[in-house]
Amino acid sequence: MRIWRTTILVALICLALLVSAARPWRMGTELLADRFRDSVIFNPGASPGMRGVAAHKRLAERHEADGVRTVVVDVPVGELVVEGSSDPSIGIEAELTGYGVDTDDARRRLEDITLSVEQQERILRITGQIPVTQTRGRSDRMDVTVRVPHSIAVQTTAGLGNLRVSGIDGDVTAIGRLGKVRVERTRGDITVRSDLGDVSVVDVEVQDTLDIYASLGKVHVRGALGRTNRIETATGSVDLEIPESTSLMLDASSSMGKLKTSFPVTGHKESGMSSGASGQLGTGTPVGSLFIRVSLGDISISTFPSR
Amino acid sequence: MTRWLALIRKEIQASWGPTAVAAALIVALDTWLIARTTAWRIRYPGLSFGLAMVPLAVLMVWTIWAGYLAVRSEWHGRTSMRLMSFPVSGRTVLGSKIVVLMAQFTILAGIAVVGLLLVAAREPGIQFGTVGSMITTAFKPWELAVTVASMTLVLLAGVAYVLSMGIFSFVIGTTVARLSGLIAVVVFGLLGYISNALGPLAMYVFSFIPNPSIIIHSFTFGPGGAEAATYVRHVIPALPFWPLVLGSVILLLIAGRLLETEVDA
Repeated sequence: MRIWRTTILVALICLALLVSAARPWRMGTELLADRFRDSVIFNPGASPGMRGVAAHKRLAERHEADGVRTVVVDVPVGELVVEGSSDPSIGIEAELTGYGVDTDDARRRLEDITLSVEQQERILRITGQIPVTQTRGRSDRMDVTVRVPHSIAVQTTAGLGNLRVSGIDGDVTAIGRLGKVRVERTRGDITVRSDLGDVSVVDVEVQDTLDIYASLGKVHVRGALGRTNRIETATGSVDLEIPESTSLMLDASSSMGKLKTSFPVTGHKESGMSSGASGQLGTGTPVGSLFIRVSLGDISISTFPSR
Repeated sequence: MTRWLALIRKEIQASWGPTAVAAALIVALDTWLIARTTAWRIRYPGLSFGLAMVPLAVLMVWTIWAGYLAVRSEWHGRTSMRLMSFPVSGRTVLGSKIVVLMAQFTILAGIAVVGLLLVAAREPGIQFGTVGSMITTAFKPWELAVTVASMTLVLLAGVAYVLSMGIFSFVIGTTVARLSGLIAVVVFGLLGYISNALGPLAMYVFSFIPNPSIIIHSFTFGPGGAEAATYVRHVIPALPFWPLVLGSVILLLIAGRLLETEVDA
């Protein structure tokens, strides 16, 4: 029955003309924007801190450092700072923040945020827990500062947020998931892992081992290297500032990037977009090794202090 | 139901050959690209990944024509007319076609996506491990599962709608036999225009019922202090889902009814 098909075709043309005149997409877009006014998806100008009424709580406590050799700190969301101190005890300060749709909701959430401290033989564990109870909105957080005697080793993990470790003479392990990682003024071995965020290791004297891996971010190292040094980054540059007297066996390469150095280097090679060196860095007898791998980014090795 | 399954079986028999050939071509292309990625990673970074996306692009274009071509071959062969001699409705015939076309799309898209991921894993500029690490860090397993399921549902609803548009366009195009192709293109264009124009209103109406949801996270890093890292979880309702499903059903019902009237005539 051709009449039906013709009728539908005419109806489609009339409907197209009608919507062209009425412009219903405007009304639809406005209605959607009004209905989802808190969402950055429907309203690009909306504040990302949706439903952000906050409630805060401060914690402060001290723990005897007798017998403690290592402090392990794990904070899921928030800033984490671990500092070396001349105080013989271990001090913990934290600001917990809960977010809710109103003040009562925020306070209720605050009650679920915990920071536990427990000692297992020579290890003191400081563990933050933020239950994920909400399905949407701003995450609760804890900003934690831990002060430990200089000689203690520290192992830190920051889930989301910046991490800073400073003034530690013991070994340092710093793991940052999403955020910047900064290690400064330390004298022991250093291990750093970063998923997303820049890594800075500055003013350090590595005792024996430096091991840095950054998935996505720049790596900056300034200080004296150890005997075994390994730096890898998938995407991001590596910038080393090391003493002029440094002499190491170098194995460095960037798949897409340049190797630039003010040191004498043997075995320098460039091919297409890749660059690297496999030989000696500096003069004199090599006292260790330096392994650098970069997939996408430059490698820079310069003297410290810089000329 | 038995007749519908018989129609499905018939459609599968007719389409498994081309599907197998297309799948073999995609596998061959991806295998070749995986072999070439190492050699190309320095001189032509990203080329393998770009070429591995070609099958997906072709599939998208294919979706536009597939519904049209599926009904056209039936119409010209008059097999649909013969099918109508069975007590099977037009919507049943079209329903079987669209189910098999969607299965074809799912299989080929699945193969193409797996190939794309394998190629991406060898591309130095993509940092597959990094992306994976970021995803697993940010998302909990259930969040990933919900998001992937929702996106798949919306994608399939979109494919169903485009296929339905193709089928509907062909049926309306037969109004004038000599101009059927041109009319079908015009109808397809009109449907696209009307869908875009009414889309936001339809999404608003359907936002009041449960929708599949997509979970995303946004992060902002400040210079320091309490607001240095702000982390917000967003649950985004996949609003196009229900309008696409409803639109597909309406187009198929109308096209099916027109097929029946054609036989009756």
